[in-house]
Amino acid sequence: MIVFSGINKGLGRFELKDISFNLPEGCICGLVGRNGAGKTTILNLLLGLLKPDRGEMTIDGMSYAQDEKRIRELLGCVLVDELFIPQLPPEDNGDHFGYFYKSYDKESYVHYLEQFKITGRKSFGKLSKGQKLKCQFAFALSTKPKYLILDEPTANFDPEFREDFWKLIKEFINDGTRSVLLATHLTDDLDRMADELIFLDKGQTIYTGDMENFREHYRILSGERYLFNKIPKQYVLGMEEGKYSSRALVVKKRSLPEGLTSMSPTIEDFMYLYTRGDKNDQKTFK
Amino acid sequence: MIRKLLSDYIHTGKNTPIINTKRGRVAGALAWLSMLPLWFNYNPAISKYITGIKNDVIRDMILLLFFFFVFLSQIKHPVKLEKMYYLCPMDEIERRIYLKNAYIFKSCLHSFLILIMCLILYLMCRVNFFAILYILIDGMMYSFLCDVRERKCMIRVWVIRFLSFWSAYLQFVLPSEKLERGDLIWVIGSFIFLLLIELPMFIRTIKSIRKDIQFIATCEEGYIC
Repeated sequence: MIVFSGINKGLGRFELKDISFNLPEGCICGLVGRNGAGKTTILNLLLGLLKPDRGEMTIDGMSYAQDEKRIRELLGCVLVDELFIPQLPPEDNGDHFGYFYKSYDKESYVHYLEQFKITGRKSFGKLSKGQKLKCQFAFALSTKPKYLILDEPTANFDPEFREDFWKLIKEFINDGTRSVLLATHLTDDLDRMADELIFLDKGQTIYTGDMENFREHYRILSGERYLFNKIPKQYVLGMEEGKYSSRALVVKKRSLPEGLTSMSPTIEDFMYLYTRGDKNDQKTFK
Repeated sequence: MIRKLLSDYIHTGKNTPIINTKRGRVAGALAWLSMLPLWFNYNPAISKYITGIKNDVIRDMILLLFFFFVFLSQIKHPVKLEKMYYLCPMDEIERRIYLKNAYIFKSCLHSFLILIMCLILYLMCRVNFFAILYILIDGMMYSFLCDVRERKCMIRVWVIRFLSFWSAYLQFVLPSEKLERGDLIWVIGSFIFLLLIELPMFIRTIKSIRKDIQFIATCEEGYIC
């Protein structure tokens, strides 16, 4: 299990404040938030590229200070940055970096490359953005990690591969011992696939927990504007006012005013409406 | 390990055209500056006043080119780790060892070039033995001045590079045959300069390179750097 407890990290003007969450085994966890919310900083902390200023982070009970090498054996990652050497073909890149992994399986890497239709000796630098990510994804899978950390991978995948990608992710977590943490803006897939959700805004966690709870905890109400006045302000997280009707993201209470239509929010709706309601201060629910 | 280091050396150099970087422009300026002695040497209006320096184009070009190749290698292939190395299963000590090995490998490669240069100068250009000995020691020190951190530009490294090249070049004033008294004073003076000026600077530079290697071996520092 990955445990973040009370993590704080300052990077220039940006600050990650008191981040706490658990990532259990056997789940897909979505890490969402708008640009600059702190997603990449959390991933960098998790990957040991940054050290927290305060707080504790453990991966299967181990910390980077004591067991860096063992932790890195457990992590596979696909980042937006091009991690491979541009001049080398993907296969040679696999050999080059696979050398450091105990569990690297070259056959499986080549198999994945073939599956992703990346063949030939074209150098990594000459591949398209999507192909580069596929190479890194193939490599990450072939090192047999316990936790797969993915930073915006699906944005550059074609729709056809996106389906294959999710299939592979499902297979990856199937045995219940491995997990995926996925930072993305494309939340449609997360709505379907994610078991856990971490929603960030301005370096703070707004929601951490499972998706069921998320859908139960929040509601999107739509109806005439005056009806929203009956809801206490502290429950309204964000609102969009239209000409004829309005829409609001609210924390679910026992009773909601009659006349309003209520539905579970999608992650995208949540992000959209939440970021519209920036003026509210009391918005953190865990 | 050597295969890995060689592969790293060949493939992980800076990809950007060197002239597009600040260092590249400095390198270019220094290269032109290094051409100055040749210009002085072969410009008939000036060279008649500089009687001590022999007019040997090939010899000067060999020295210039080899020093420049080493210099180019030093700035094109700084000792650093690509981001992926920080994600691979290595701890800080292993990364430090890897960086140290990479540094030694690059320095040895440069030393090898300097050695070849000295052999060519000695066997083909008939340069004086003491001059060759000086150029060899000086060149070996020059070989170890690899760039470590891209961001940090150590003025000391530039100064010692400059001094190394010029002091090596000035050894050509020695005649290839028997040395006279004045020449011996020149030889002794040169070696005193090497021991008292260049060597302490070199030792301090190596110490700071060691510190830099330790610095970039730690994840956060190396990654942000």
